[in-house]
Amino acid sequence: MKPNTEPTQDHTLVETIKQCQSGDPTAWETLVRMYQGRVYAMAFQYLNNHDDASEITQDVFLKVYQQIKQFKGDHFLAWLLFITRNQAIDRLRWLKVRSDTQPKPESDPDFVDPGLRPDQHFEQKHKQSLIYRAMRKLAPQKRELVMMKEVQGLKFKEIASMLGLPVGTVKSRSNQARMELARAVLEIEPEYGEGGST
Amino acid sequence: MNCTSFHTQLELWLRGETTDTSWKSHTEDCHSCRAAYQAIMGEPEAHVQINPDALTQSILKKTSLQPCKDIVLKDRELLGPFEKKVQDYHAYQCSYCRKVLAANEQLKQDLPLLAEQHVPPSVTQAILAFFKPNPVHMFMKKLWGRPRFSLEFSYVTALLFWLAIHFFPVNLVEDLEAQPKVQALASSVAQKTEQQYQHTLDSLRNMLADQRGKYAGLMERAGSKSQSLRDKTRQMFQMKLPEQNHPDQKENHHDRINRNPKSPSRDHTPTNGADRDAKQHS
Repeated sequence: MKPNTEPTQDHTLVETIKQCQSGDPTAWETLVRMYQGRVYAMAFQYLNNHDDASEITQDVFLKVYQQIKQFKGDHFLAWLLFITRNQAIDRLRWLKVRSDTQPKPESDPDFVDPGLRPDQHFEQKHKQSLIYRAMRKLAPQKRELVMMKEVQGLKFKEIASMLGLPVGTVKSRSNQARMELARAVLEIEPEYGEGGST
Repeated sequence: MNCTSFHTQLELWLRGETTDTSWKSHTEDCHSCRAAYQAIMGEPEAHVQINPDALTQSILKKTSLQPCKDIVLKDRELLGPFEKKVQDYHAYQCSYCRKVLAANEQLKQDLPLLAEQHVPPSVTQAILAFFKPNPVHMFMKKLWGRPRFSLEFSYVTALLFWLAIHFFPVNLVEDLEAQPKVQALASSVAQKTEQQYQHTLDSLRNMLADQRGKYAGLMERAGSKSQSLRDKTRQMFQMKLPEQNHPDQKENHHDRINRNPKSPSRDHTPTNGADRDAKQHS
């Protein structure tokens, strides 16, 4: 049920990317629908705002559309999230520079649930909200690491190349970040994790 | 052996730096050390009675690490076997670290729930609108989508092939290296075949001429013989012409036979002798 397992660079994804490169609109739609939720969630983690996340998502896919013919790598998700991160950081810088603009109010995320029963749905919503609130307490760098490694399921090597850090450093920092998140979660809900679920 | 040396020996043994197990005898005398040993060796029912802080502190002091921070609050995948034992032991003692480790394990399962968010449909439509389909690709797709396209395609291909062959005939033998040899061989074979053909033709002609000569001789002999027979027959007929075979006359002849029973039978009519001669001649 793990949604963060990338539809691994399997035959289907490779074929879809090739069809996109040859100009097939159906393949493009498949690719967009497959990854837009992840891009949106990643952008939302940086910007905490639906409007900005929507704009970033559009910008990211515009860039993907412009550059997909040059894409020859194996790690499509890592490439996509790398573009998302850069776009989000650019937007944050732009917002910081434009200090005259009013900061947009933070909004609640709207996470995808994979078709559960009502009770499971309620429980999952509660967990998502709890973890999201705890993540807001982390420093941005640690939140970024948790987002990439634990949420999106990237490999240490991919994160290391994305952030320009050694793999060992990424491992230890990721571990620290998750432990800190666990403490933050426990601050909000002390019973979290006992008995396998909240 | 006192408790401190027992802890030191236990640490060395856990690290695998000693195989001496004489320190175990101390557990028979000291209740708390026996409980600590049993706790580390994974016998949870003995955990209640122990005084853990001394052992924990001594182990962590030896490894220059602080409890609740460095060793204990680390992911188990990053720990060695000794550190795992220390973590387990500490987690048993420290309820907060136990909770943090449990929350950490739970987070590993729950964090992927944040991977995706609902995207507003307007955003999806805007993204899909970026795409400008390749006109050639679209044309080919539409073309292949037609049910009779394969038939049409084969027709057109065959037509083009025929036109190409018709207007640009291909001489496949022209550039072959073995062409002179093949031509020489072909000419010699053709020459031989022509000679054989001429020879056969001549022999057939000769045979035909012989046959014609023979046939002409035979014809000549048959003609002279038939002429002589004709002459003889004519002479015989001139000597005695046969009666007319008229039905009235035939009746008269029969009547005549009936009237004259002494006359010879029909087989011995005067004309019969001449007929027999003619038959024999023929």
